[in-house]
Amino acid sequence: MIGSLVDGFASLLSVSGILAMLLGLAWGTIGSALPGVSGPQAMALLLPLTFTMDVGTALMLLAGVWVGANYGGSIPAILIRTPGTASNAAAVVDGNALVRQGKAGKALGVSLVCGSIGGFLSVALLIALAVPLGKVALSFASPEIFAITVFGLTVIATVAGKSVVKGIAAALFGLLLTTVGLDQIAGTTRFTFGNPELLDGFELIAVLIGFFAIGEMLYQIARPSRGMARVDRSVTTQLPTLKELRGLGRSTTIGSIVGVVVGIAGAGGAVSSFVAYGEAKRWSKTPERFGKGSLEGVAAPETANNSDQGGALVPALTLGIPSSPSAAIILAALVLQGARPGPTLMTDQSEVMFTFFAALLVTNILMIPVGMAILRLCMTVITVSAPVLTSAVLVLSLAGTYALNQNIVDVQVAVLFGFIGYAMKVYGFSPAAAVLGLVLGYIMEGELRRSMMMSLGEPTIFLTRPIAGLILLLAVLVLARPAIAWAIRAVRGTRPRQEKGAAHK
Amino acid sequence: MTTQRLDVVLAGVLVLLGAGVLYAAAGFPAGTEADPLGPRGFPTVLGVGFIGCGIALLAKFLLSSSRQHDESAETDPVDGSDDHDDSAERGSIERKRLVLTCAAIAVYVVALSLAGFLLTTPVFVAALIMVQGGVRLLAFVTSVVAFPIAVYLLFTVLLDVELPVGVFDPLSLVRGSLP
Repeated sequence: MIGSLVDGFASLLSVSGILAMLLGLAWGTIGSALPGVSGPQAMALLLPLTFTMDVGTALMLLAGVWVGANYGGSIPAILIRTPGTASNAAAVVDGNALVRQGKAGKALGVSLVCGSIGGFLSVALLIALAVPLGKVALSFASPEIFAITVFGLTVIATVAGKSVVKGIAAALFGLLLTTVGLDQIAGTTRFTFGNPELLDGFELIAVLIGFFAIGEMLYQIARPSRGMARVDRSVTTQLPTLKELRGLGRSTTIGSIVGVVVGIAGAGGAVSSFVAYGEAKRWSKTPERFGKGSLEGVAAPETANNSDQGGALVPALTLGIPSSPSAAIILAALVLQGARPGPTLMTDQSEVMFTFFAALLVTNILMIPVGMAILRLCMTVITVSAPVLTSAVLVLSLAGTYALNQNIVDVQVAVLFGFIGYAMKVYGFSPAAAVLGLVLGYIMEGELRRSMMMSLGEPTIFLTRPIAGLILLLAVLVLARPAIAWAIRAVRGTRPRQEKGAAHK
Repeated sequence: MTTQRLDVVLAGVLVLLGAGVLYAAAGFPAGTEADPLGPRGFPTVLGVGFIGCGIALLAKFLLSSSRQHDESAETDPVDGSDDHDDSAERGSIERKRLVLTCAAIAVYVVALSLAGFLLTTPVFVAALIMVQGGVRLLAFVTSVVAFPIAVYLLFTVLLDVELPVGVFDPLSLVRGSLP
């Protein structure tokens, strides 16, 4: 494994590789600092450009965007109380309190350094787990892989929105999209409605850009939520001193552990950063300072936010199950480069994967100087007016989609799914769950059908194989969890009324 | 329409979608001994899933509306006419912005292959900014003139990727002047 990692580092040593990582970091940071543009959107916008690159350079670029996006969203969260994503929201309270005390540079510095530490540690854990987990995954047959895809989808469907039912419906919609075109086993055409352009199914990246970029921009145009932001442009990043870092050790450790665990479980950056904030406050020697400008209150959620992303990559790269939209985009980029996500990824593409791991480690370190260097540029883009920003993102989205295959049909597909993504968001259906369904659908159907071939049409195969049965049971429990919680609330909610009624009598 | 009433409509849409998927799937080849599920199996499962989600959404509405009915009997009615007027006006503005933006995008996609990126994009950007309003003249001019040219150069020169040229290909002038 160490030899593979050394080879991975060696493959970074090229002008194009270093440039790709630096550009990725810069775009990820600036892109996610833009109001309304999240990390997955910044990554999706860049995907078409990776089409012409070799797979190594493409992954170095995406590693940079991945790492940069985690920090970029913190800049507007701390400076103007407007988090780039929900996962940066926990840093708003103490980060902005520090800004009001004239310590904006220190808040940004703690966010940058602790985030990089969290990101680095989670990638180190990813590397340690990837090979053994990959070997375990290789022993899985079709029923186990099918069960894992079901589990991955149920986790996302239950955490992606307010309604579990709508989350499941959105995931089903994503799965349905993968059935369009030629059937992978029998070669039958399905849902093409006589249109030859649909024989190969929908272009994955076009759908992704439609859901994430165009749909989101339509939402912001229809419902503008902010005026022009004002930022003190004299702020510069102040890195924490060694003494301060030692003082932040406890909260950084808590953030790292919480982030990785929540990331692997797929509950998302928002959950990990808020849980880390709460736990850091509980274990802090000075909990009374939380909410009033505590450096620990910035360090814990920012570390968790970054380590969550590394955790999310563990199931994505070892099992082919993305537990976050960003991880789904990484898998989509691999598909674009001809790789097949799944348990064989770590063995069939180990050289490429270790290049990606090395790039993630290096970009987490490079993030600190790059983050300091482009802070002023980020502060400028924060103040870009919404009409200019949304227009620019729409043009880049459409031009990028066209650039995939120089085909206007891809642009039409992106626009169609932009409209659908907007409607889904307005009516509470998570576009992220649909995208994960889209990424997993092909594997899910293939493994389901192969399982049924193995058992000669006997569906009990999923119950008679212990690992598959256990994973499916976990999926059922994940789905049932909100229903159980609802039932408990309903029972508790009726008691006071019954007592009240009894008192009247 | 309240969120909960909207859920009834969405439940209907999901049931209809599921029924449509089941109807279409019925036309696909059924499973065989070699491939027990066949091309029909997976879409059928999805169709049933959509119908199940629709029914679950409807059941949730019925349960919560019966609970609300119980609770509303215990509370006094509140006059919210001013709030209602504000939200109706806001909704009308949102719809107008959305319809105009969608129309601009649809026209742009059609015009893109006919008139090319460089001719259509400035008009498209101008239309989008005007729909949203509130942009200073300098930012407007920069966005409409400089931004499309910058994107065009980024794709065609730096990334060597063609964008739609339509009837007007500016690079052909440059190419024509080269020996």
